[in-house]
Amino acid sequence: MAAAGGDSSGRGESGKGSERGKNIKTAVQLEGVSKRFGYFFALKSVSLSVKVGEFVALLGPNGAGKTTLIKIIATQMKPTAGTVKIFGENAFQNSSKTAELRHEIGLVAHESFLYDELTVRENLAFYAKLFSLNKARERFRGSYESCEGCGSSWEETLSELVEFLNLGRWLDVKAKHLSYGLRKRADIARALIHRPSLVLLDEPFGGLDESSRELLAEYFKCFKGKTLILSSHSYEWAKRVCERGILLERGEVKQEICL
Amino acid sequence: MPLTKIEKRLESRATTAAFATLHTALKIAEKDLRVEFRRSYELLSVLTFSLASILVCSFVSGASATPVVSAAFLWVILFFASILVFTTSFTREADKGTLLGLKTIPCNALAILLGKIFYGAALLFLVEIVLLVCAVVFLNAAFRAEILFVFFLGALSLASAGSFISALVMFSEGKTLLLSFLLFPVSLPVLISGSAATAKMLGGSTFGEIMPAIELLIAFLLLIFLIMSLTFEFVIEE
Repeated sequence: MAAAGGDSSGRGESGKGSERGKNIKTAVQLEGVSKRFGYFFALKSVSLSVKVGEFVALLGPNGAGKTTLIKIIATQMKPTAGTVKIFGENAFQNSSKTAELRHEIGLVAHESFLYDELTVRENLAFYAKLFSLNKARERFRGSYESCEGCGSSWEETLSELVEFLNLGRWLDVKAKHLSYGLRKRADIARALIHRPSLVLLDEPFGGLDESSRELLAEYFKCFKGKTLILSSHSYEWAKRVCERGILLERGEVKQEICL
Repeated sequence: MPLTKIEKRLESRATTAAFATLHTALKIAEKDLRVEFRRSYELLSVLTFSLASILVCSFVSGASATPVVSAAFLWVILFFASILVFTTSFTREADKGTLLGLKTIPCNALAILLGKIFYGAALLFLVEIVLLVCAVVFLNAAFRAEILFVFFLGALSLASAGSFISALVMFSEGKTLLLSFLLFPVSLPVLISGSAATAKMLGGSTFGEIMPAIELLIAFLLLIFLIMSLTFEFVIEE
C-alpha cells in the first residue's frame, strides 16, 4: 500500500490533485517566523518553503529549534511573529481555519499520543472518530483537490495501516505493554488514520535500535503522495528518507542542503 | 442573497459547529472514563476517602445529625473529593504528552475542556450517589429524589470550576497546591448554594423554596462557561 491515504502516482507527484483545483504547489510556507519563550528566542525570523510532495529534513543539534518549528507547522504553537501558510492558507488566521487545516496534518512527536490504558485499536479508533466527527474537511478539501481516499471510512484506513505497519498482532494489546519501537509504529498509524496530506515527524529515529530505524526509514519512503517534514540531528538517517535538508542553528536557518 | 437566507446559513453552520464541539467533548469524556475505570486505583481511592470521611462524621454525630450538619458533611467531603479528581484531570494529559495529541484534533479548544468537565461531573456524581447512600444509612438523612437534581448541578458546577483551574495550573510547578488554593475561592458560590439547598432538602423544604440556590448554581455555570469560552484558547497554549 502507498501509506494509507497516499495516491499511486508516486513521490513528488501528489500535488497534481491540488494543482487541478487551486494550483497549490507549496505545502508549507513560513515567512519571518519567530518564537520567543520569555527572553529566549527559540526561532529567529525563519523563512522556508516546502513543495507539495517533497520530503524535507530539518537538521541541527539539540536546541536548534527543530521541535518548536515542527510544533508551529503542526499548528500546536502560535509563532510570536511571522506568517505560516499551510497549503496556501494562513494557519493562524482564526481558530476555525486552524481546525480545518489540522485535517491535513499528521504529527508524530517526541512523546507518544497513545493512552497507556487503551489498546492500540481503541487508541486509533478514538483519534479516527474525533477526526471524522468534524466534517469541515470535505468543505475545505473540496475547494482545492479531488480528495483521494476521502470516501473511505476510518475502519478501512485502520486495516490498511495495520497491514502497512505490521501491527495486526498488537491491535488488542494495551499501549503500555508495547515496546518503544512498536509504540512508535502505532503512533505513526495514529498520525495517518485521518489520511493527512502533510506528515510531520519529530525525531522519529530517536531511541530506536538499528533494525527499527531501518524499518521506519522504509515505511517513510512509502509515504507516496504526501508531503513529509522530518526533524533529526542525524544527517545519515535524514538522508535515507529525505531529498532536501534545512540546517537550523540557534533558531536560525543556516543553509539548505541537497541530501 | 436575501438576509434571511444568509442568517439561516450562518445559523446552520453554528449549529453544526456546536454539535461537533459537543460530540467531540462526549468522545473525550468517554475516553477519560474508560481510562479511569481501567486504572481503577484512583477512582477507588476517591471512593474510599469519601466512605471513610462519612463514617468518621457518623461517629461524631451519630444518627442524630441535623439536616444542616449532614449537608455540611456531604459538601465538605465532595469538595475534597473534587480536589482529588481534578488534580490529575489535565495534569496527567500534560505530563504524558497526550494533551498535544488532543490539540491535533480539528476542533474548537473548548471541546477539550468540555470533555474534561463531563468526565469530572460523571465521577463527582458517582461519588455523590455513594455519599448519599451512606448519608441515608449512617446519618439517618431523609432521601428525596429532588436532591439528585441539586447534586447534578453541583457536580457540573464543581467540575467546570475544577477542570478550568486544572487547565490553568497544568504547566506550573506545585500544581497540586495551586489547585487546592484556587479551587476553594472559585467554587465558593457552588459550595454555599449547594450546601444550603441540600440542607433545606434534607429538612423537608419544597423545591420552590430552594429555587434561589438553584438559580445561583445556574448563574455560576453560565458565568464560568462564558469565562471559559473567552479564555480557554489561551489557557491551553504552552
